[in-house]
Amino acid sequence: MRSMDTIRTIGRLLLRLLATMLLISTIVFLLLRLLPGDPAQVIAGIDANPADVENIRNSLGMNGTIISQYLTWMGNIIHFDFGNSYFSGRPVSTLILERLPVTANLALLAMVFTILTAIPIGVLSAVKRWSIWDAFGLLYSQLGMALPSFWMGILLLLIFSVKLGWFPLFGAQGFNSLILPAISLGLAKSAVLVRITRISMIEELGKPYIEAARAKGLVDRRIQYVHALKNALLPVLTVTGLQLGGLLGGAIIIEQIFSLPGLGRLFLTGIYQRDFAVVQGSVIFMAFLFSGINFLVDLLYALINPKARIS
Amino acid sequence: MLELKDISKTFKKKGTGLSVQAAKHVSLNIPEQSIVGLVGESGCGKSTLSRMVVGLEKADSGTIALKGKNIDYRNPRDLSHLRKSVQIVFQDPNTTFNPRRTLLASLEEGLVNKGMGKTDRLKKVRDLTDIIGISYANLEKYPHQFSGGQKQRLSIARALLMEPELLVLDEPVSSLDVSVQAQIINLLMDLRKEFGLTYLFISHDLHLVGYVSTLIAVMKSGEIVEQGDAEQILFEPKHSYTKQLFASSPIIH
Repeated sequence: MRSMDTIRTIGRLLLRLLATMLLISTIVFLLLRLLPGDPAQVIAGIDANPADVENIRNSLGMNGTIISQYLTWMGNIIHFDFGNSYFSGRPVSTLILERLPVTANLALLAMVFTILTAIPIGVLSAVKRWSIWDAFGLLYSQLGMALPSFWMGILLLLIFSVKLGWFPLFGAQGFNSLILPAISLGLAKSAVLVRITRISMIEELGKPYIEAARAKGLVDRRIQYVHALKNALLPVLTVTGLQLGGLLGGAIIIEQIFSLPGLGRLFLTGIYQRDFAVVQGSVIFMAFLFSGINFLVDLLYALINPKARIS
Repeated sequence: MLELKDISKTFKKKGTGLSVQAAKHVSLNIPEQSIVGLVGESGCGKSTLSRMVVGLEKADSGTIALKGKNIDYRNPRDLSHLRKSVQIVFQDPNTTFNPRRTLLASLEEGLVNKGMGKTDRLKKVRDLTDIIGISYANLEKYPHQFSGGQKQRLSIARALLMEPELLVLDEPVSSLDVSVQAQIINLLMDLRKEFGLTYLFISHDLHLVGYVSTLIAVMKSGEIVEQGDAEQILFEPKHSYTKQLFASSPIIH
C-alpha cells in the first residue's frame, strides 16, 4: 500500500522531469533559430565568403528543414552531444565535464556552509524568540540579504587573501581555494534560509500538537528538537533544493571574481566569444542539472512527508 | 480531587496596552469521581481555565491544589506530578497529533518518557486501543488517514495512557459530526466507570453539559457566576445569565 504510493509518486516525478527536460531542449533549440540574424554569419563576420558561412552553418546543425534540424538536435542531446566548440574545436560535452568538478564542489561547499549556518541560527532565533539571539539572527539575515555576493567576495579576498594571506588569491588550488568563494556564494542563501527556518519553526511551535505533547509531559527540549524541528525542516528542505539550483547561477559571478575555471567561466567565455555551441550546451546542461536537483528534492520530500505521498 | 482558589489571569496584548481578563478570582472545586460541567459562551475564559488546570498556562494569582496539596507551576517536580494525575483532551483532534508520526509513535511517546519498557508500552497501548474501539493494527497509520471521530478516540487514548485520575475535556465533541458526538460521549461515560475517572467537562452546549454532569459551573467573562448541583442549575437557575443561556439553547428538557 505504502510502497505502491511511493512508486506512483516516483513515476509522476520522473515524468515531470522528462517533460521539463524536453521543454528546455526545445526552447533552447528555438531560441537560436527564432532570433533575428544568422548565427553563422555572426561567427564568420560580415564579409566572409558564402562557403565559409555555409560550413559554419553545417557545424551548428542549422542546415535542412526545421523539422530535421529539430530531430537531429534532440538525438544529439540524448547522446549528450552538444556539438563542438567553434574556437577550441573540442566537444562541448568534454569541456563541460572538465569544468563541472570545480563548480559542483563550489556549489556543494556553499550549500554546506548555508545549511550549517542557517539552521542553527534560525532555530535559535525561533526558540528564543524576541531575545538577543533572535535579534542577532535577524540582523545576520538582513545583512546577508542586503550585501551582494560579488561585493562579499571582493571583501573576503581583500581581508583573508591579500591582507592575511590565509587563502590563495585566485585559481583552483584544491579545497582551500574554494572556501572564500563558497562563503561569499552561500551567505545570501544562508540569510534567506535563516528566515525560512525561523518562521517555519515558529509556526510549528505554535501548532496544537506541540501543546498536546507538552500536556503529555514531554520536556521542552524534546518537543522543540524532535517534534517541531523535524516538521519545520520540510519547507527548509524545499527552499534548500531551489537554492542549490540558484547556486549554479551565482557561481557564474563568483567564479569570475575568484578566477575559478568552472562552468560559469566556460559559459561567460562562450558568450564573449559568440561560441554558440558552448553557450547552448552550458545552458542546457545547467537547466538539466537544476531540474535533476529539483527532482531529487521532490523525491526526498515525498519520502519524508507522508501527506505529500498520497496527494 | 482538584481545587482552584481565587485564580486570576490577565492576557496583555503586545504593544497595544489592551488586556483581557480571562479569569477573575475563580474558585472551583472538583470532587473525586464527579463530572463537573463548565459552561459559558466562547471567549468567556473556560478554555484558559482548563489550560491552567493542566499546567499549560500559569495563573497570575491564586492556588491550585491537587488532593489537598498546592501545585507550584514553577517547580518542575510539581508540574510532572500534576501531569501524571491530570490529562487533557483537546477540542480539535485534527491538529493535536504530529502529522508526521504514526499514531503508535504518538501514543507511545508519553510512556517512553515515563521510562516504560517496549513490551510493556505496546501491551498497554494495545489494551487501551481495544477499549476505545480502534484496531491496534491501524496504529501504523498517520493522523490524516483517520476520521475525526477516530482521532478523538485516539486522543482520549493518548490522555488515558498516562493513567490520569482527572481528565479535562475541552469541548471534546464540538468539532465532530452530530452522529459521532453521541458515540464519543458514550465512550467517555463508559471509560469513567471502568477507570473511576473524574471529569472536568467544558462546553458551550448547555444541553450536553446538563446531560453528562453531576455538578455545573456557569462562566461569564472570566467569572463563575453560578455553580452547584447539576439538577439545581438545570431546573432552578438563579443567575440571570444562566437563564439566558437556557433560553438560547435549542433543547430544554
